[in-house]
Amino acid sequence: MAAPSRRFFDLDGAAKLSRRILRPSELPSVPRPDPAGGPAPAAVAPPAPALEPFSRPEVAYKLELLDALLAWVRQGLNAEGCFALDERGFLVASSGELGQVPPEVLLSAFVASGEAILDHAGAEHRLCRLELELTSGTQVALLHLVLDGAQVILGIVAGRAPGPAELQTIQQTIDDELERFAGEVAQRVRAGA
Amino acid sequence: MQKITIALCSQKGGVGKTTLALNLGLALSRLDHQVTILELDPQGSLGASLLQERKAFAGLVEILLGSGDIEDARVLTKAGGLSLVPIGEVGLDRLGELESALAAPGRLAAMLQGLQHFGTEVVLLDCPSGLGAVTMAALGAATHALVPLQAEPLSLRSVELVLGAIDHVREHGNPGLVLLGLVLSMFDRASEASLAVAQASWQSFVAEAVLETVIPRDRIYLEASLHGVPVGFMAQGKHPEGRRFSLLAEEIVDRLEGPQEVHDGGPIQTLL
Repeated sequence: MAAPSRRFFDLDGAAKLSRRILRPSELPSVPRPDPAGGPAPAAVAPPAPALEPFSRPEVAYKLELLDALLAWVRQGLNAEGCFALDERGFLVASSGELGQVPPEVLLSAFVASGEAILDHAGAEHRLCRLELELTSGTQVALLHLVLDGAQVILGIVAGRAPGPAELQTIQQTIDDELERFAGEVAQRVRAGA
Repeated sequence: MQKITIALCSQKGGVGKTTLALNLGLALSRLDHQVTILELDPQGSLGASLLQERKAFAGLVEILLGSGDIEDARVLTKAGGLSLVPIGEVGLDRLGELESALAAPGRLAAMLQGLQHFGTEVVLLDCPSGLGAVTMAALGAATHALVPLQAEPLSLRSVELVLGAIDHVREHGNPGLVLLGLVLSMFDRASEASLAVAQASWQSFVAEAVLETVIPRDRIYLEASLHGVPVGFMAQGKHPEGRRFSLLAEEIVDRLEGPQEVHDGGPIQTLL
């Protein structure tokens, strides 16, 4: 796909405007006349609130989350039964007794998967797509990574160690993905037959 | 919560304003707020979708042009705290009158005042696309502006226009108006262009300008519209997209109720 025109993405003017209108406007102070009859001093507008661009914690957080998840992925392919792939590339899902595994072990269990993916993909590919998709009623997030047009789907709890119920939700999500994958395979087999 | 009036506005059409108004309204009402959606869009999508069983109904036009009152026009929903004032029967012949009436100084503000008699705490103004007289009147009467930002490159071109309009209104009559935030809407994670828009908005604006909750492109919105209900009513109330608006509502209430803390660049919580 051709690179999108950069002019669409130049948001400098909009960003400046947004910083100005995030707070109620304060009217300039009304100048008082000089009792001695001199000219009134000019009105002075209050200083704009100090807001630094590019300081949003969410961006840093998302990048950190992405980094951590890529590290997570890097470990996973060495763990038995962690992922499934389809013919489009990677539709990756994990199996196993996640609910029985402490978070730190869960983390280390995925360390090798990214290495394997990166080895498979080579340096010219990139893992670039991130979306946190919250599932109903929980703070469990699904991570969708795209590897050269194929998807990697992983479940994780955003920002903290998962509790037992959340791990159960991850497990259920992953099981659902595996089941869907198995269904697709069966369907293709039937279609081929 | 103080009385809040949020204008949902966008220069670009088809960005999900009405979907946002309806689903956010429901989610806010489920947080125990009394919410009224005031439909200002002459297209009448919201009223037509929700009131599809009714042949004719009084609405904003009838109130403004003197043949109805707000008590007749206000439609209570089964969601308890959520009510709706539809636009009413707007023909071409009444469009000009509607715009003139809404643009008349103080007219919309008086109507908003009237809604307080019903205990309304939050009014959502579902504006038409563009920055015409109706949208400018809404911004003139609102306390906050919420701007859906469709996650497509062309929509970025219109962001500065709508933010400029908000700035203009602040300088010409409504200094208290503030930007509540931009909401990424119709986000398609399978599209590089959509992702690029999301990344551009995250990187270009300060944290407070863009809400964390992202509204994806999902067929459930089309299906919900077909049935004339919010997505929170689909799948026996269990569809994940219903939860999406709960998160958005919680985020908005947090913004309305307290000052935002700007991250100081210090340590960030570890992942696990």
